[in-house]
Amino acid sequence: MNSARILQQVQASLRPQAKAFLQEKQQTPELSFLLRALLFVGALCGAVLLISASSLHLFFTHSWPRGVIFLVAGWILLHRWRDDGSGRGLFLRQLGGLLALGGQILIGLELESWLRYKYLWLGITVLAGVSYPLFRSFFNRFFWCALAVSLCCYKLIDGGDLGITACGLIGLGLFAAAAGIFIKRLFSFYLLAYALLWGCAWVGGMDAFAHWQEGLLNGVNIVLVVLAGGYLYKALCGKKQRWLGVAAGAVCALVLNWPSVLALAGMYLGHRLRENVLEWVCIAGLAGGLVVFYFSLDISLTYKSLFLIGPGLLMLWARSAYAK
Amino acid sequence: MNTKRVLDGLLQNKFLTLPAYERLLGGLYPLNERAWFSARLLLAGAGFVLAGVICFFAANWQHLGQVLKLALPLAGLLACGLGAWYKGVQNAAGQAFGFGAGVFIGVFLAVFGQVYQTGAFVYQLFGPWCLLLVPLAVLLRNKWFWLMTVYVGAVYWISKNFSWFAPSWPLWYGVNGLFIAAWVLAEVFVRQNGRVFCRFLWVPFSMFNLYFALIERVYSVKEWTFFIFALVFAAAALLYAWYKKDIVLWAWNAFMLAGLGSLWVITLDGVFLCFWISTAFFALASGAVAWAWPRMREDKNNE
Repeated sequence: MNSARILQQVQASLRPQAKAFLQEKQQTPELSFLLRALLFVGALCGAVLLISASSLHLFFTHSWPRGVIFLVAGWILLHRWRDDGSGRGLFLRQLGGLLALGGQILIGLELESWLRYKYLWLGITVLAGVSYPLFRSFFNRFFWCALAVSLCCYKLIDGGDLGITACGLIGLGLFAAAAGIFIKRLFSFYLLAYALLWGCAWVGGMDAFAHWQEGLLNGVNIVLVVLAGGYLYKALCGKKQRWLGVAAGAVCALVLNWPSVLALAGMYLGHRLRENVLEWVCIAGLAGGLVVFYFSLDISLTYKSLFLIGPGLLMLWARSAYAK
Repeated sequence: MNTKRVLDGLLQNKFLTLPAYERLLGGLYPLNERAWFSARLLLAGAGFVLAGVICFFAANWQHLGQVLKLALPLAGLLACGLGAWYKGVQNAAGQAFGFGAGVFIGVFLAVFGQVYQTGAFVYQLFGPWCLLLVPLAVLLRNKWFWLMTVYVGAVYWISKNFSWFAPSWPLWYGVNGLFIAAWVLAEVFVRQNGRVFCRFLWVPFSMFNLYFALIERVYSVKEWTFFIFALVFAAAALLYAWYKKDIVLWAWNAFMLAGLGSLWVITLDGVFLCFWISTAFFALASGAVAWAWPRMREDKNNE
């Protein structure tokens, strides 16, 4: 796609700025994922080295002065450098993000003694809310959000004592919030959305280990029925690909549990929105959900194999009919 | 330039409205629901059936007769052979059948060894398997099949000569010889995706030398031979990567040198000093990657 076609869609008054933006992007080379990962390893080693070395100095008898220093240093690095494709900028930004994260953890450890344990979820949520706009780094944002979501969910489901339907509805609520962020294309909140998906998987995991061992159909609950029913209704009433809806609904009812259904919905959402990362995250979630489901099935391996082959053949049949 | 990311940036900076963004995205990546569903249904269906079949045989293996046990991989081999013959080995599907045939040869040898107790050593499976893969690799003329053959050959030689905590010279010569020969041949013959292919040879090769350096320095006789060889290989590969402007190979070997440096430190002063210095080594390696990347790119552009 050429720049002229993109600029046609931009308001006339904003075109010069948009053109400059495009030119800058075209001149900035992209670093491969492998290189980014290697730079991350180096930045992690650098941050660990600096934070560990600072503990040797006698001046730092408490954690908080070190925390403040690393927080400020990290903030400066994050705001001074930008990812200009040179590698150096990315390295220093990653180092800044990790130093800031280390600083926050050091301060948090000091505050933890002041904060009573039962309010930890509240403290972490406030910390996540404050640090999200201040530290624009992947590690910082995802780490605190995921921690806050996990603690809030743990509090909400009362350590796994809540029923299977309530767990499913909490998971559905988290997924809906994440999907809303993706659909609205709120790029600044994408890491919050991934943290919400993490929370969804976390609740699903707790639900699985608390309830699914009890029997075959315990993985299937009201959320699954609502979603599969909605999909079937749409497929049947739309009068298009009716048989596909029936086949998909039958497969869902046979093999899926609510985290897997949500992961499947997330996969499709990722495809519709062209968000590859979302799609792959949901593929991993789906695979995990299926493994846990089949692992927790209390039937013999022979029956388990038939329970795998049946839906597999159904899917292959659906595919061959769909391809015609 | 990743166009999707550029469009994301334009929307984020409010140069584009959401409908305009969706229009451009739709033009750039048109939705093909049919292809998407087809591919996923095929993968998921095949995965379910395969997992079910594996579970079925795992559950009933003890009760199957010997003839059936031997017939199953042979039937797979026959089916793959027929598929390759029907589709032709130049075709992608025919090549996939060829790969399947290569895997079924190994499965058959494993089952044969189990049924008739041909030997007590695992490596006896990999030797004949490697030999049987060679004519198939010649026939298929597929570089990834050759890679599989090299891996099977390496596993044979390693499992035949391997001993924990005791470096063996035949093992070292054999594996290094095999991988260096494969590397040289790949440099000469592999044109398409040559750099990516060579990484699949270089990574196990350098990991093997790192392991030898590790057992020599930490567990074994505490001599320098294997360690120095590993160091020389990594340094030479670093120079080669600079010459070829291959940043991934450069990064891998910079980290390999950092790992070898850490090994050297741990034998000098134990764990405490090693923690500090090895962390610094890895940070330096990462810095070297950040330093080299723009220079390599600039040199490549000038060429």
